[in-house]
Amino acid sequence: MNPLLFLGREFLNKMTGPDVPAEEREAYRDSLAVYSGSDEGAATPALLISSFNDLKPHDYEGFTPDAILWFVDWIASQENPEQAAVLRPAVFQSIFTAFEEPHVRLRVVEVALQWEEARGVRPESSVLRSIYEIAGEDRDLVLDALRVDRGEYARGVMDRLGA
Amino acid sequence: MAFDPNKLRNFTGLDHDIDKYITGFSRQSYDGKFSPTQHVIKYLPPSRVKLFQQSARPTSSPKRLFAAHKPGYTWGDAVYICPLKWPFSSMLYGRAGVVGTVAPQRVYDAVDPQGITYYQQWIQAQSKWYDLLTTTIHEEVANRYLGNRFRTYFQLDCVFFHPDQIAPPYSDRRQDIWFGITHEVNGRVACGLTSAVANPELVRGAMRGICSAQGQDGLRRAARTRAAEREAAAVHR
Repeated sequence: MNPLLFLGREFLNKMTGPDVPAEEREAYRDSLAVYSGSDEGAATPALLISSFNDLKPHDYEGFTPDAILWFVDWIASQENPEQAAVLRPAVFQSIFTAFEEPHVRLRVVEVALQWEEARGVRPESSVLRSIYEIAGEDRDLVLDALRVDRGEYARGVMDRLGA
Repeated sequence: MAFDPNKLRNFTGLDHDIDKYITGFSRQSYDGKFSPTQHVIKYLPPSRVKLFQQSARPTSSPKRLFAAHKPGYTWGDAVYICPLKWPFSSMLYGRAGVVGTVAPQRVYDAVDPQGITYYQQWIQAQSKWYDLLTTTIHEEVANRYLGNRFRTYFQLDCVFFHPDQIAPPYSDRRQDIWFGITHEVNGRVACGLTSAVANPELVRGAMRGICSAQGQDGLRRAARTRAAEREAAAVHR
């Protein structure tokens, strides 16, 4: 595992662990946001995204579904488009593969869709096509996320799934 | 940052009714209760005061509150704040008060039963999340994402609702109203540091002034919370 993530994993768990009091979790998230917004911490988002880009499939075993959901939501909340663009779309597929929990899978598909739409990815190049291929019995989750989005990009991707 | 109304999805059926409710009843309801630029207060635990003070970037710009994201929040990811009409209503969440202003464009009245009914009808069409909400152990996560999805879909800057946590003597769940203020990124509800609450500043010794402005009811509540007030003052010193 990437050394930064190895060290930061405990912090991720503090931000997301259900056994950590809610107020404490929020304080950890707030502190990361404030640090990332400071001059000395400005590189943090890019470093964190790069670390996720480097993860091997077995590395995901070290993360809880709550931690991964936090990461996915954090990606969706990145205001700097250049920063979020550092993420490799394959990460979405890796998360989908590593976690069988339906709420994680559904959410990662939604965020992948938003991420691609915001970056002008062409529907034929969408990672959702690969995810759909490997989704097995959870293909309906992928289709559901596309259907309820009701946006033009989601429709374009759905057309190319051949569903 | 406010939503861009041009990003509204193509509305059909129930969506139209809800949109009409937002632009009509909800707007009138908000305007009848609150000022166009409404002062609001958020309470933080003392441990987060330092973070708030460091939240400005650059440091000369206004500080920012944190739009929280956790499953337990009623309407999803938002800055949960209270109009100054009810200065102590959300004090169960902390002792350090931060006052700012909001001027939401698209608001949703979730005080009125019709607003609740519309929301409940709408989420039933969100098939997988609704399934997760009603038939699985993941209901808290589903509730959060359904709230976010609804507010994104209708581009809501603010949902106002009665408190759903009973915390005497602070909140009166029948009278008080709280706001869920949206932090928007790329046209969607998001979490993180936000400027959605303008010019937030720590309250410094102003609690008595606020009480006086609220009349006898405010003063009675103030009397009940004197100890809390002293604690807040100690934090701010």
